[in-house]
Amino acid sequence: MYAASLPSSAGIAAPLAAANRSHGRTRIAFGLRAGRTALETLYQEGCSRVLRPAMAPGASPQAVLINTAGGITGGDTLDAEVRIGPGAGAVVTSQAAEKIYRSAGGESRVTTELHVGEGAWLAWLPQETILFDGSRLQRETTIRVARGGRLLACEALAFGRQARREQMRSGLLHDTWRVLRDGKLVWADSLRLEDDVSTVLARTATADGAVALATVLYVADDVTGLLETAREMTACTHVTAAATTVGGVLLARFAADSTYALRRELVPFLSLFLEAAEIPAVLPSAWSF
Amino acid sequence: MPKGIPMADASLLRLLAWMSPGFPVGAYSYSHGIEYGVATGCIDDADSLFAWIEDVLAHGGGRCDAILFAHAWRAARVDDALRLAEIAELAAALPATPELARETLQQGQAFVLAAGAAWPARGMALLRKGGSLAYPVAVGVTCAAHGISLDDGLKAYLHGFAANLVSAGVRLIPLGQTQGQRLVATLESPILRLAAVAPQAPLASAGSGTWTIDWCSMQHETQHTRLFRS
Repeated sequence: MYAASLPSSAGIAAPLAAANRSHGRTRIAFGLRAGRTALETLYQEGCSRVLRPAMAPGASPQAVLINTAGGITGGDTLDAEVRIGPGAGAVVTSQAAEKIYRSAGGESRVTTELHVGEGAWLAWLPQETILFDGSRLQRETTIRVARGGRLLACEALAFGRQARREQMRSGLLHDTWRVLRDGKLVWADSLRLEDDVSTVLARTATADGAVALATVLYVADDVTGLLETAREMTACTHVTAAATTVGGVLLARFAADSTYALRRELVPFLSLFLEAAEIPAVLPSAWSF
Repeated sequence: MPKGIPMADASLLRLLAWMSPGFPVGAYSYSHGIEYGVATGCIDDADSLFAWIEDVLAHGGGRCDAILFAHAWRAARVDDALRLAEIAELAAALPATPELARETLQQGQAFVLAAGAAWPARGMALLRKGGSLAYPVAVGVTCAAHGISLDDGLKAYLHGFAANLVSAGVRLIPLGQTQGQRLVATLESPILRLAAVAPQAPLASAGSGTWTIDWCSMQHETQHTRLFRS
């Protein structure tokens, strides 16, 4: 649960964190070997670590990303690259919510590259990113899905540590997504909030006061068949949520007044969506309540 | 045109024609989420309509369009077809919903057809390279091709964009015509503010933060009674 994902070090002073810039880099590749998905590359550098939980026989493999620095601040970088080879499939998640601390100068940069090969699938389901007041995050997610490949991605953002009744009053969030198919850009998204973030989020046309947002993206050759299911599921939630298909991707968005309320809707949505899309994986245990 | 009259003298006339509600891009049929916003009660009077459009300009599609417009204008100005293709590809991929995509792409396409037929110019060949063209890219390139300054072109574009949303709100809420024109007058300062800052923004910062509008646009797809295409 949300409160449990905050370690005691969450209140670390920004200047201390800023003095020790941290950089993490991860490269994970899964491929098909003798009819089963096997780990082919595992590279970890700096504050990035990867856990490989033991899975039940026959279950899809999982990789769990860990940031040993406990969070990042201005000037820190986190790079992750995940490749799923043709015909293979895996779930990648994170051990805890990623914390973006107040910046004493500069921006925190998070770069993610996801490659899904022909006939392969990837469930990219990291836990939420918590944006502390004064944090400055530049995040770029690039997704490449080959023909016959499928990708389910969920990214949740929490504006401030709600357990501490804190808001992200000011700072920067620039969250960019690029989805490419056969090298062509099919969908792009760029959520940009700067300066008086909480004031902006409170306005009707922006987030109408929501402080927890999530984007769920499904990329496949045919996504229209799942639109009705996604619409029905979002209509049943107790948060502001809707789904559509655009540029060949299925997009569902959720806006809630707390991370708790958001997760309470995301957990069943993602579980049911995995099933509806016939992705042979279950929601990672890190997600459960 | 009689000899001796510089092209630039026609700039104002052309902008008035291109951004007039009568220019055949079908602007009147797009509400940018306002139709659903009115149906749910998010927008129910002149003040809430003003706040909505102000947010579109400061944080949403207006800001995004302004940045795309400026980059497209500059690329066309130096005849950089590669750069323009990159801008056009991004502009076509950025809308968060299919209705918002159609709103910008269909107006862009209609604009190129009408402006290209009535006001042909050498630089507009850049627009015929194929692919979908977002509205701000189409207008930005056309302005550059006709020697219209970035500042004038962008102000006219944003004014047309905002006035069209006022018109949608006036019809939907409904509001009186005078109330609508008061909003158009009050929107001058957010338009000028945006026109002043957007040209300095990098292309990568084109984006939006108007989640409610994206949500309204998604919900509008299944709204029972609809007058508008977005």
